[in-house]
Amino acid sequence: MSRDSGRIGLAALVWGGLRRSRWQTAAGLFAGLVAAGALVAALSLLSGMQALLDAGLETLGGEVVITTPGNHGAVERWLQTGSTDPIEAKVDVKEWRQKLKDGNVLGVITTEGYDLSEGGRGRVSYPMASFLVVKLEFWASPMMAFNEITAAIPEVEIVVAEQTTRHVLRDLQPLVRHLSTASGIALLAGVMITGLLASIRVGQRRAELGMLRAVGATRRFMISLTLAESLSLAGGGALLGVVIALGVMALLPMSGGLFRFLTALDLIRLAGTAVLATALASTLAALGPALQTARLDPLDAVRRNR
Amino acid sequence: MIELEKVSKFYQTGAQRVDALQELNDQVEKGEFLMVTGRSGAGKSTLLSLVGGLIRPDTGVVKVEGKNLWAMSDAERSQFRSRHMGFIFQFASLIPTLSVLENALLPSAFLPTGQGGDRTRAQELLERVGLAGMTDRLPWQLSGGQQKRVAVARALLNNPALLLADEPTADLDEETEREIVSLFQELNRNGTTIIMVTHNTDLIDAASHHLILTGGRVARVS
Repeated sequence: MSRDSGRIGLAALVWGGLRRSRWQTAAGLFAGLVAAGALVAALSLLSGMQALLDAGLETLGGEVVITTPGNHGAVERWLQTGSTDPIEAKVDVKEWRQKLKDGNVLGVITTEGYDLSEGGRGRVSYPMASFLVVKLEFWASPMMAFNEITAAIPEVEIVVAEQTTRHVLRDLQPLVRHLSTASGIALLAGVMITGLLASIRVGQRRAELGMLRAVGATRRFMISLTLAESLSLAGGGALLGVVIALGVMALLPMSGGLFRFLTALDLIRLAGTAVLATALASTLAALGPALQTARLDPLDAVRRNR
Repeated sequence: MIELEKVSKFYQTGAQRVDALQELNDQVEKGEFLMVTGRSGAGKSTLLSLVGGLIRPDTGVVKVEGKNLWAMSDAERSQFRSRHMGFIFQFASLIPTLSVLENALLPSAFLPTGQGGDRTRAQELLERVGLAGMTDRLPWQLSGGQQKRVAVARALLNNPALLLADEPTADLDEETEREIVSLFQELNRNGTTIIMVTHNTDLIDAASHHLILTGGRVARVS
């Protein structure tokens, strides 16, 4: 029902309702913004970390990394993020390969030298490298290989990918907990504000709502009107919230780095999830006030709420 | 046109039961102008709400145009109300963000396209109540009397056979009150059935029938 045809429809009434009070509209938008912003921030950080971990292990292409002493931390970082600080190329690839062969390390498929003397992602290198990546047969145990390599080349430092993964997951646990709590609180606060605003709007407009009921609005229309107003505010705020949250996170070095591991589709999916979750939760929060409008006694509402 | 058969309505306020209407039997014929008076709490507005199908009677049957209002679904009753009844309240209850014309057009939103009054009819009605040239104004730009006239135009948009008015002249100056009552009389002469609730006994002569309610019962009919 458009205004051009001379009829006033639900959309016009919703728009009119939103224009009634600027502070209420601003508060409703803000509630949706905070809830969806926190939600998308948490979701994208978690997804980014998972993707980062996957990317690190993919970059590795092997189960064990052998390097010179003092580079353990840098190698772990390379495994986790696919990028790290410079590591001097002091490993003689040919010599270490021979030592592994002589030490009869079981289950070795390939060994590959990587040069990270300039830092970053590095490149496959021969004859000198910063470290040696060892890929094992599926049946071979990295921890057993660790012991055999230690025996074959005692002066090296060995990083086992499995352990790195466990370290990362263990390190992430508190962050995951805090993020989940924060986003949960933000979502709950947003939903409570939306419900409260819906209640205030209904309370302030009982006379108008009673009049609408008297001139022919069905109970379903009355409920739809209140829910549509809450949905518009929460949805609008949520859209703004995900754009702002993702924009800010893309600009921050730490979170921006994580975003490199997420595709545009991943981000759209996460943003969509946050907007939908916020809109749905906010609409449910407005259900109580919406049902009140359906039970209004119009004449009483008009008399008591001039 | 309207039949009330043993209609009762009570309200529960805490432990106390208030009988708003008790076993009311009445009929309003087509073309009547019925004025309902009585003290506060006598059940006048309850009667209007029951006739309008806005509240459900606890006992008894309310029929309008031969149809039992509470045998219909909410959607059917709402549409029936929009098509056959016009409401005028004690306060104009206009939507402040809609223009005068848009406010007058509201009842058409609840009928299928083509069945309710359109923009042309709304403009004609606004002209008839003396608001030509004010159709684009917002409610706050009008006086109280003018707002009430918009409410009258709104009530008449779908050309209802029955007009239900709850103290429509309360809060108005004498001149505007006279104008509103004259308009009602004109509508009544043209066939519209009117039930008007009022505290103002000076207006009784304007109606064809008078019903006095006391404590939820009919005290006198004239």
